[in-house]
Amino acid sequence: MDPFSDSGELYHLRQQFYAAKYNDLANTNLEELIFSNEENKYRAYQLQIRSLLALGKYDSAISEIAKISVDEPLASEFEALQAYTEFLKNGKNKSEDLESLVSSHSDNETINLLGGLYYVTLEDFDSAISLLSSSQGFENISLLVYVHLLLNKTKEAAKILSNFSQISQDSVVFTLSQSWYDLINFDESLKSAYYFYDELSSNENTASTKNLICLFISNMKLLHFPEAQDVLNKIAELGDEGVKEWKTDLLINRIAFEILQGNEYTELLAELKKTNPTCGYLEDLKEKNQVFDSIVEKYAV
Amino acid sequence: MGTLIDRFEEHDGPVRAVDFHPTQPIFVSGGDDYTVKVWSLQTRKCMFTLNGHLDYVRTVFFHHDLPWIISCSDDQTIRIWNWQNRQEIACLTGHNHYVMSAQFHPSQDLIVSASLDQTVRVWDISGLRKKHSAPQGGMRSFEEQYARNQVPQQDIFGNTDAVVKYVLEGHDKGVNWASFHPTLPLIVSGGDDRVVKLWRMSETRAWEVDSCRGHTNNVPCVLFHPTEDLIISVGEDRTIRTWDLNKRTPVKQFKRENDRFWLVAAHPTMNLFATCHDSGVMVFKLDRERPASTLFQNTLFFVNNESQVQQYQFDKQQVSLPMLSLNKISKSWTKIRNISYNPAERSLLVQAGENENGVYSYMDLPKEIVGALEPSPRGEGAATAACFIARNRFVTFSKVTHKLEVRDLRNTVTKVIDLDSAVKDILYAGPGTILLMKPNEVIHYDVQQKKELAKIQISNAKYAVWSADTQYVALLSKHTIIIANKKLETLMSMHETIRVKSAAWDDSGVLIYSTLNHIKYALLNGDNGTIKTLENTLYVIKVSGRQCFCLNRKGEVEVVTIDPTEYRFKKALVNKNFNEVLRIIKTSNLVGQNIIGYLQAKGYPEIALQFVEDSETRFELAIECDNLDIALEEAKKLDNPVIWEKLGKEALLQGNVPIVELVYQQLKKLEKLSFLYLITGETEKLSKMEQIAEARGDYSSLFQNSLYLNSVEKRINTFIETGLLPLAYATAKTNGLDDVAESILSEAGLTEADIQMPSFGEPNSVPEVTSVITEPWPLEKASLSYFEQALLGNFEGLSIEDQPQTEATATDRFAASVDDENLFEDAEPIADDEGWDLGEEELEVEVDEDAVDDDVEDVGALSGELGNWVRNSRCAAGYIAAGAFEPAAQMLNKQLGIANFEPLRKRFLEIYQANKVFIPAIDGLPSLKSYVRADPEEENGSKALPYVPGFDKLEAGLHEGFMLFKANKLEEAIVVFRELIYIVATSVVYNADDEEKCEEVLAVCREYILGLSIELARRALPQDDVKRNLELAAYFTRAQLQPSHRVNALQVAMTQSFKYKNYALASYFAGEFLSIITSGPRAEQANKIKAKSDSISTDAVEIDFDPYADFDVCAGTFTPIYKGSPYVTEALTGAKYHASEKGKICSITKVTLVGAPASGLRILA
Repeated sequence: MDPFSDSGELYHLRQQFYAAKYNDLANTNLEELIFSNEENKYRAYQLQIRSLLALGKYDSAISEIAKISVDEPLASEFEALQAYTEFLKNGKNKSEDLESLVSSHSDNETINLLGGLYYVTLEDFDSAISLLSSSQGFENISLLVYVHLLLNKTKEAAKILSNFSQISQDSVVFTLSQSWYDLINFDESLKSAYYFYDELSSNENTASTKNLICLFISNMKLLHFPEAQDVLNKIAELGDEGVKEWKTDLLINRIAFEILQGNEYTELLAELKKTNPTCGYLEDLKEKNQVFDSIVEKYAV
Repeated sequence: MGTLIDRFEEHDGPVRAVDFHPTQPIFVSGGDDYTVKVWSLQTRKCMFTLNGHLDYVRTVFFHHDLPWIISCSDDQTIRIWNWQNRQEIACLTGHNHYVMSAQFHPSQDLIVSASLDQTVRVWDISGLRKKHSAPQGGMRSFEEQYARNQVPQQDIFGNTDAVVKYVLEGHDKGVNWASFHPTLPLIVSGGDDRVVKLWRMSETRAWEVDSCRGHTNNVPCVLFHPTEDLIISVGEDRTIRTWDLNKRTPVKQFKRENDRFWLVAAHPTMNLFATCHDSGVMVFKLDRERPASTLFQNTLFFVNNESQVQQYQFDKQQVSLPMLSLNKISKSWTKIRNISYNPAERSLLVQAGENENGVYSYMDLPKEIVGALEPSPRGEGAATAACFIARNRFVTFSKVTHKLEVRDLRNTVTKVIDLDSAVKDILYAGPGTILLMKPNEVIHYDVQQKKELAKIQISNAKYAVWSADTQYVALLSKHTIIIANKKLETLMSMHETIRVKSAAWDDSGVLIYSTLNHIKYALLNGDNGTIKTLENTLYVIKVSGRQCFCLNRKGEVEVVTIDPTEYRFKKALVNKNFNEVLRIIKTSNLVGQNIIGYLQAKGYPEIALQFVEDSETRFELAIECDNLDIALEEAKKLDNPVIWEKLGKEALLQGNVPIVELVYQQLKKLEKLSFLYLITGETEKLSKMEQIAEARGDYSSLFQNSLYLNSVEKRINTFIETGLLPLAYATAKTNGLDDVAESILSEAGLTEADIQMPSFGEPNSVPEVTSVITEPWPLEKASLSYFEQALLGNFEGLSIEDQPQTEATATDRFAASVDDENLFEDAEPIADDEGWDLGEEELEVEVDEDAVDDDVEDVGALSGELGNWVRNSRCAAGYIAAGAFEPAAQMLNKQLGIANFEPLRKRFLEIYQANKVFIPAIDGLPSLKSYVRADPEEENGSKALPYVPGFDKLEAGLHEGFMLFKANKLEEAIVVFRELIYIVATSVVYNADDEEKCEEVLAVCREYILGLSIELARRALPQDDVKRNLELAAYFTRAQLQPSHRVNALQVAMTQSFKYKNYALASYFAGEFLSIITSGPRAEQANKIKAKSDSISTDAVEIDFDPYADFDVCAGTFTPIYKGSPYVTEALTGAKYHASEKGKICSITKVTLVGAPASGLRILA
């Protein structure tokens, strides 16, 4: 059975994962769910463990992985997951274990994906692209789209997406990747991104802080400021779901929003410095300040 | 529902036929008693009976125009009667069996009849008309004379009145009915051979066109659809069938279980048919008349009666041309039932037809509306309901198969769900969910999870209308409306006697619904009422303020103006939103018993009080809301014992002693009054009561009062006077008044020894009232209600409301003054040019352009969006937004002479930060960057420009500055104005108007900063520097401020001058002041100063100020620059300086260099 079809027992879990409802997924007791086969069960565990990683709970992820004993090929997948988790936990330094696993199992979608994530994290984009290009896994393609978008290669991303749409049967992974592209762009694309996130956010099964942040961005980019404010209020209601990156992004986006509104934003900046003092945004600002210092000096009478 | 109006019981035996006259209040009937009777609808009585038929009368009909009745009978004849002279005027013979029906042609002089002799006959009655119409006077036309000379057509008996024109043979058994087509030369007939036949006739002949087979038993009646190409027949096989007139194929049929149908008739004007069967009458229409429509934000898509999709814009109230033609989507004779719109794809999902005929089709809407295009469907299939449930999913449902299918946009089924067979319809209910409509309940169903979320009991709900915030849903069935929340918990349920047609939520959350003939409202608490009566049924689509947008049955949008006052009022009242209640009371004329009764019933007598003028009602309401003052006022007007009594009671409850006293006085309740005085300690008044009692000779009252007052002598006297000597004696004795006792004894002729007195103690003293109460002493708390407080509050508020108005006029004046400044500026450039060598300036510009080009190369490293911004921007702001601070600074330096950049740091960073957003894409990996463009609809990167904040804040900024000015916070005001200058310097505008506005803002800021700086400098002066003080005060008046602000400057100058005895100038400033402010205390003071100054008219201190000379004030030194003397300007705001100030930082802007070479502000994109 096509694992990405709308039906299927993993559908709900996948939807939670891709909608970034990590806490819900992490708190699901998978033992209570009934799966028709072992593979689906372990796929479910993979989703749960990856949710833990997204939440930054590396130790719980490791202990979860330790509980699992399974035959090949899944065994290697969990091994790779373990290696990837440790890589994240140990400050993102080069991991020989993971690299060797990846190169020996290049045809395994899951390991391939983890390899892709690993190389992107290390900013070794060429390795990531060459690795991911060989895979047909939906998430792998999605990651490939992401990498191209990150590198600002929008045309390539669009090409991958258009091929992707041929095989994806409208799966959530595809629509999500498409929405990144749409959200970065303008006009019709931007509007469709807006509708996508609006839909996700208004359905209780898929509403998450992450989707709301994206909805907020789309509103802001469309210059729909009152609506954006509305979304902000909703985010405040939902609260921070414990993912640091979201908090950082939200603060950055809010700074932009408050400036656009002509409001005070220094507190937000201070909070950002507290939450994520090393983020690139702050570094950039610092650099810009230095540039400005030199300007002041240069033109001073 | 049908209601029996009257019964008409004069026929003997069954009545087989009736017909109403099209215009007169009469009707005709025929029955098995061989008679035809004509009845009056006014008197409800039989007017006369037409005798002549010799057997059962089968049908009777009026002529559409002439005063004729046609009847046919089992006696094989057709007779025509004149109902005015009550005569039989023709008897048509020829049929040789029962004549089952006979009718006039609706426009021509023809009759069609059907008989059991298996024929249909067409008769020509033009001879009869000629004979019975009045002869024409005057000259006859040649043709007419010719015609008269011809022998008229006649039958074998020489009868010329009515002759058989055609005999139509073809039915194999008796024919029961035959009717003409309203416009075409067609006849339709039905017979016991179970066949419906269609006949055509020309001038000379008539022939059978076709037969419609299908009825399984006799066809007693058949007719043409009045407007559409359809034949409608009824049968004893218990069916009603419709046939396509052009193809003679069956279209639809309806079957009753047990009843045979006998007759069918069309309504003359409405789309309604009536039929009678074995157990009653049925009124029906063939298809729904509700135009399919769907709403998205401010746009309505609807299907007109030509099956074309049109679009209606609510804000513009404009209907578009047809966009798509849906004629080919639906099977013939099925109507478009529903459409559903997907804004993400701008596509439409159309569902048409019912049951097995139901189809859906999914298509794109054309990008531009150019007329009804043929759509190219992206997907089609069978369904009885279909709607989008998500951006990329729609569901289709068939009540034949009970399957719900989820489809993606390629029409591929992604999921199939078998639904309960009771589900009749599905409706959209928010993303991913639908409502399943069952006969007894409605279920909210999550399609993805296949889960029932909630359910509600309601029978036969047909429509669901969600409120804008999707918190509430109104479920409509034929006669019931239920409002539920999104968990489908009933909040309100109401019954409506007339059929409910449609509903929409008003902006404020009131449900506006339409019935067959009304627009009504319903509140969540169950209150409802009529807003408007309708002539034609409307389907409410959207309600916005006073406008109710509806679709009518012709497939057009109608905008109905409604008065929302009543329901808003009620809603405000229910929600205890008293400010709103108050506003409505003040601004609208909401009156009437209705609303007063409503208010009283809802427990708001104090509000009702606001509406009433009738004294009695006012009194009752005042009592109810404990408002004694009004009650008293009204009681005085009414002056009625019952009213006073009531008032007294209430006043006593509230402890309002003065009113109680007044009431007792009014009612002459002296005893009660006395007691009241006693308990309130009013001894004096009590004594008065005693005197009154004495004067009236009322001993009982006197005694009572003497007890209250403890006036023993009075009491003894009373006893004596009433002859109660023993009591008098005892009283005297016990109170120690032995003398008095003695005298009583002697009067009675007794001695002390004769009387045996029991031993007694000390005389009782009456307790004294310790504190006298004159103020009302509230026992029952009568606090002001919410509403009354609101009333009081708002009276104060009203005076506040006046202020914004004056402010508005102030800004108007400001607008005017801005215009003035324009003039002022227009006059300036000549002077500007003098300061600049034209050639040099051009050169400067070129240098600038070069610099920009170089800069682009400098920042060539920037790629993507930021690179685009740099390439596309012509203003500094675009460079700043892209993070190219250095080239931006260079531009600003060249254009405006900005040298001190530090104050701009914040603005630079704000512009840079305002348009960067971070998208969380894959968690754990870096976020994707994106940007806010000035035009979100600009797709093309080569035209992309950043969104630069600030321009839309300028107006608010000015306002803030003015407020600070008024509040005398001058330093803060200067900061605000200066910020505005920075914003303008680094803005982007997209049209000349906005650019002009920016320049105006700069000028205003310049003048205010200059003026305020002068004033601040003056305030900082040492006490003894009188001359400078007076000069600065005078210069301050030269700043171009708004008139209402300039008076402050003038006042300062006036008082300072007066104070230091510069009377001539004081008089001048006072005069200027008075030209702006003409009345009020400040003007009076100015008048006084002016009068006093004029009387002296000398200046004690000589200052450098000539009120009549034209000069500017140097912004650096605050000294005059007289006309002709050299000066330099600053490029950003145009502030003027003495030539000596050149090269300094401008004191107005704090960023620019005075007199620096500059090309000028460039902010137009």
